[in-house]
Amino acid sequence: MVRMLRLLLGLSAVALLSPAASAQDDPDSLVTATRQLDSGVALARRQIAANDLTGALGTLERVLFAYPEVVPPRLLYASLLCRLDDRQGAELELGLLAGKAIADSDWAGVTAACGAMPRPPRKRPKR
Amino acid sequence: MNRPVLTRLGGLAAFTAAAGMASSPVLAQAVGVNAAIRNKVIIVGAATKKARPAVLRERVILNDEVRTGAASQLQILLLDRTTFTVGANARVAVDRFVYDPARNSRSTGVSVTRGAFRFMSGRALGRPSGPATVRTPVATIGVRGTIFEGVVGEDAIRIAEHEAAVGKKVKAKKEEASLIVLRGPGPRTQGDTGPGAIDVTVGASQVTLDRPGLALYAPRVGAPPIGPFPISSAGLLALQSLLRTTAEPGGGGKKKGGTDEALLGAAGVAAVVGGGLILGGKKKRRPPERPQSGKSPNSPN
Repeated sequence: MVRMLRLLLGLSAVALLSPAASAQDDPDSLVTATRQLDSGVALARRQIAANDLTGALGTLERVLFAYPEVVPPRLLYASLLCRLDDRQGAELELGLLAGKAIADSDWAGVTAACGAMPRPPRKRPKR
Repeated sequence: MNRPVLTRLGGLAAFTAAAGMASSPVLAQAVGVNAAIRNKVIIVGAATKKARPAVLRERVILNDEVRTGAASQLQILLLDRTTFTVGANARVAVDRFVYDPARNSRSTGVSVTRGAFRFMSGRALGRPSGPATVRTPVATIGVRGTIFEGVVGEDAIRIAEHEAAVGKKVKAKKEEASLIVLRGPGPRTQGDTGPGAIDVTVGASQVTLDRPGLALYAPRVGAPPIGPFPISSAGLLALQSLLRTTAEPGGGGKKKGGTDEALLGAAGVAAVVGGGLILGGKKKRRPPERPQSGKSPNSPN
């Protein structure tokens, strides 16, 4: 019985140390993190830092489901598309921001990833 | 949709990843979670054939069918961190899933019978994903670590006929027509993410898409595929509108005859879907609802 308990404790410890057990990699944690804007964007940045660019893209997609009008996550999403060599997709995302105020610091992140890009006009173009 | 079931959750890491499912009697069949829901999304159980509204963080079960309404989306996060986004007016099921991180063994199969979708290969445990296949009524798409989008049905025809490479004279079937677009990573991708590609098989033809923005159109069974061709920005925007995550109107638009009743089919069940109350196929409107990524009455917590 004691040996069994020791084995279970050992397995639990291994599970806790396993990368799969990390808060960043558990599916529930990944979903929960994106229910709030700040924690969702922070998760995406951690994934980018870990070179999980497609994971970050999925995270930002969830963030944008909940906060479609917020500018910074969409800028980060567009930056990621550039880093993944999808410039056409990045331009379409940026086009959705016409009429929105974009902070210079946020725009700097886009140009760092994409190079020169037309900045979305502050005023929405008339149709 | 009746394909061999290959679901397996082997190894400690797989157990850990699935730990949240331990209380579920369908552990062996759970392949992922509903990660984000927008508007009207219905799940039809493979075993029960009963329809129910999708709920955030609910387990996605092998062969369950996802049905989305107009301007509706569902993001599924599979256990191997592959992300599958289901767009408006879609019918989709995950019909094959093998995930054994101990052996780095992964394989995914998804069937799309209608509607728009986006596939993003996962990188669980820091490793690239395994082989994946997405099937439409006319094409089989072999995925090699990449992001791609597609649409099946009338929307595919509507978008494709405006592409210079296709035109309006191509004879297509609305139940079969499939438009597939590679998004990336491309050859100039940054970081340690390698370029991806998809191999699209249509009948006896196989076409590889290996650059972002390349598209292939398969109008019907028996017809040769058209492409690859670079999709226009207007075409990509139209496809994106079906997967759109902005608050702007779009997302496929409501079609005559209504999609919502069809979502539930003849099941005659009562369900609150987002803000729409559906009772035996008849529905009373409520004000527009927030997506379920945030707090919502349908959320489990």
